[in-house]
Amino acid sequence: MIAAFHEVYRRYGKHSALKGLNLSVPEGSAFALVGANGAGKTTAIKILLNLIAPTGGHANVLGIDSRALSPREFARIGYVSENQSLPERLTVGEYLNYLRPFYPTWDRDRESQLLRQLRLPLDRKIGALSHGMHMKMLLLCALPFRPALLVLDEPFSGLDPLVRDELLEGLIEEAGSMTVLISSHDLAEIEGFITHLAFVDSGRVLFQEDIDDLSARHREVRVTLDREPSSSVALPDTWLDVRRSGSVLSFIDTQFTEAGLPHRIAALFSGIRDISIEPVSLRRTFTTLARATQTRASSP
Amino acid sequence: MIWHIFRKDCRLLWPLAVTVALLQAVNAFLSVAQGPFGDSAELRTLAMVFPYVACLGLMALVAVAVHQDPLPGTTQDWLIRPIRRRDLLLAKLLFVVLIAHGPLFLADIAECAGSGFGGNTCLKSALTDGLSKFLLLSLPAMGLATVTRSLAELIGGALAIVLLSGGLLLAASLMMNQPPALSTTGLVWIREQLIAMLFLCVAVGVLPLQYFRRATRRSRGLLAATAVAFVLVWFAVPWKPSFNLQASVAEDPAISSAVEFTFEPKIGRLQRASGTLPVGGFDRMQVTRPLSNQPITVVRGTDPVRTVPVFLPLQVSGVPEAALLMLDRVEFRLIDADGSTLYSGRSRFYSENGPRINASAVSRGPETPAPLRTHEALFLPSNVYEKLKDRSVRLEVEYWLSLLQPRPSVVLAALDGMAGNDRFGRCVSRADSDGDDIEVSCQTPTKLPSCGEVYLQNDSTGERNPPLATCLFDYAPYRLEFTPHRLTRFGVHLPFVDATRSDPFPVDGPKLSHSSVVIVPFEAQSHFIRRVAIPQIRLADWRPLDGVQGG
Repeated sequence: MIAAFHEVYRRYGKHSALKGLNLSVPEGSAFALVGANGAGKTTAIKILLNLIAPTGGHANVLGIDSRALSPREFARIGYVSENQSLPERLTVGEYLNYLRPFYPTWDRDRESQLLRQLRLPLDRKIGALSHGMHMKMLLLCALPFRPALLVLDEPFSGLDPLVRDELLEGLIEEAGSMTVLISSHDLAEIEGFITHLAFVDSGRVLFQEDIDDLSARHREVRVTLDREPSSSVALPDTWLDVRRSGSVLSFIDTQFTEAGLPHRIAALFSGIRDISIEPVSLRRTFTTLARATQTRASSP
Repeated sequence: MIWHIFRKDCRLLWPLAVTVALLQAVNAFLSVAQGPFGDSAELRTLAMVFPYVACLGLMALVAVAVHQDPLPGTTQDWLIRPIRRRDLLLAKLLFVVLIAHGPLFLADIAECAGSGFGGNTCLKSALTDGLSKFLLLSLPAMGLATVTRSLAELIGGALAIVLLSGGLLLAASLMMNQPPALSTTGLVWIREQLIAMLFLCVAVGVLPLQYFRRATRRSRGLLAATAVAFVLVWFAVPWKPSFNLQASVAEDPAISSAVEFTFEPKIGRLQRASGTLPVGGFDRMQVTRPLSNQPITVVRGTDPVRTVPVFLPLQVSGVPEAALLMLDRVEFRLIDADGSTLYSGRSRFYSENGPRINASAVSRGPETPAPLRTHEALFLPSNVYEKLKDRSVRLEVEYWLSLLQPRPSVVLAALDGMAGNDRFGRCVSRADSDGDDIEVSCQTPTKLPSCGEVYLQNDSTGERNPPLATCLFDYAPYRLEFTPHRLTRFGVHLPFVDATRSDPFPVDGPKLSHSSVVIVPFEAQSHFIRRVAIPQIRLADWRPLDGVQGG
């Protein structure tokens, strides 16, 4: 594992941002940390990078405790966050010149390539960059040294689609050559390239899974019956976002198996006319799970 | 990477650095341009204000340099870069030394040389001034900057610390009925050094705490605790250990071994005109201050509690010729026949204007080679005096004393003279515009002497006009203090015409052309205690005959 959290707690006064977070990021993966705003994603990342200390537990990154991170490890970690502040009075070129000597593995060709790709003006003061350009600048500063771990905290927040695509292009090119840990509350934009996903809610990981397994496990199911299904039938807990419309019942099955689902439906309902099974988008999976979690949390 | 980070800061901060360097240059120019007498009121005012502006500029530059890579917070980009914290700290220190203090050092040298001092003196002065400002301004500014993110935050934090300290100081002052032990004494430098060390230790402690641990909350707590510690140091530095420390660094402790104090009733009661109380052996005192020739008449006053002075007749012997004996503190106890203490207290003196003076000269020679007879006051609260005045009590008095010896004099022609030495400074003289005084103005890049005496002397006859004497009550063995002014200026007006006198001064108008101004600096050589025990005394017997009143 290139990064891992072990029972990590973090309190801010009376508020607990993390409540025993456990998480493992496999090396070479593109790992998405998803969750609603305030779920604890950014706090977790800050602990991982030793920007803040955990109140309890510990995080490991690149094989060492995050509290002991040294310049040697930081030379192998790239970080992009929408909240990251750069020296505003330096130009893009001046800041690149400043950063270069700190990284023994800095690749000038890769830097030039990224500059062309991201179309950043070298002579522009960083403070004069737009939000989108600022994010591109952060990516430009995070990639040329070919980090072993690239940490992205809400990198696409507030970006227009064009800039988002440009950033994604930059990222996808790097995917595979390094581990990417990306936090986001909107999965549509990262669906194409992530390999693993962890769902964080209220400071805990609700599940962590390989994206292929997750996709295979979730299906959108539509059952057409002869008549309106009885509302007294107890449906399995693994069926989420259940909707009834006349004789049609639709839901997301979170424990889908090709062989098992028809049997389970048949055991609950009679007069089945049609069963349609569709793959679920990652975004839909996430929003469904998030809603279900919130419903469970708010129910007495 | 230290040099690399340093160059980045230089690139970012050169406009501010140049501005602060210009401030230092203008500061030096104003000091030299105003001349020894400071005749131009405008230049004098500017030269008075500009050093403070330059100091603020220096501190701002230091703070902004630290703020280029702020330590509090989690969003700064440098935090996730492979930058060694040690390199960052050393780069900031390098910036402070080279970019903030470099121009200060050069301006110091220029000002000192422009004022006529030699190379070695100027180098020593510039190094001392630079070191003082580095330790007492730049390092604390760095410390504060490491717990803040911007200049506005820093100013807010500094104000909070000042308000907290000020509030605590005020509250403590109101609660205490005695001023702090060292206040207004020659030992006050010990407290100043302790406070400076406190600030320095906190700054030096906060820097690694922030750069290596980024423990901002703990560092801010430490700074707040410093405000409390400052008040404690202000009030709680005890007198006796301080005096012992002072005595231990004395140049010649043995010189006072022959000095004796005895109660001598035969001298009789003090007889003075009503009103002003006497000031030891000096007829007239003048406290000199930078750029101020305003004389301050020192009189003995009273503290806010109504007090009654009782004057003990004393005989003082064994004071070396030409020495000054300074009374730093008097502690006394009134003891009943059964051995119980009726009252114990310490005497305090106050000046009417300006700085408070807590000592008086009791002896001055060579005019007084014989044992000196003097009256020294003990101040008692009026209710205590009224209760005990007619009782026969035992009185034990402890006199805490300093003996000052003259240093080589500076002699310059009374009219348009110029002379000096590196130890004392450089002085010039001229007749003032009214034609009744000789105006003497001096500048020194070093510590001022503890006391000084200035008089006009006829070169042919050796006759002297009455001397003007002044004491700054500062026994510091070195100069390491915060002062925005590099050169200390001081001056006196020596009168040679006085319409109120029936006889003319020995050196008056026609004799000025072959007369000199003689400046005699005095430095403390020994600090010691003498005890006087009077087995039986009735306080009422030693009130002044004319009814000089305290309170």
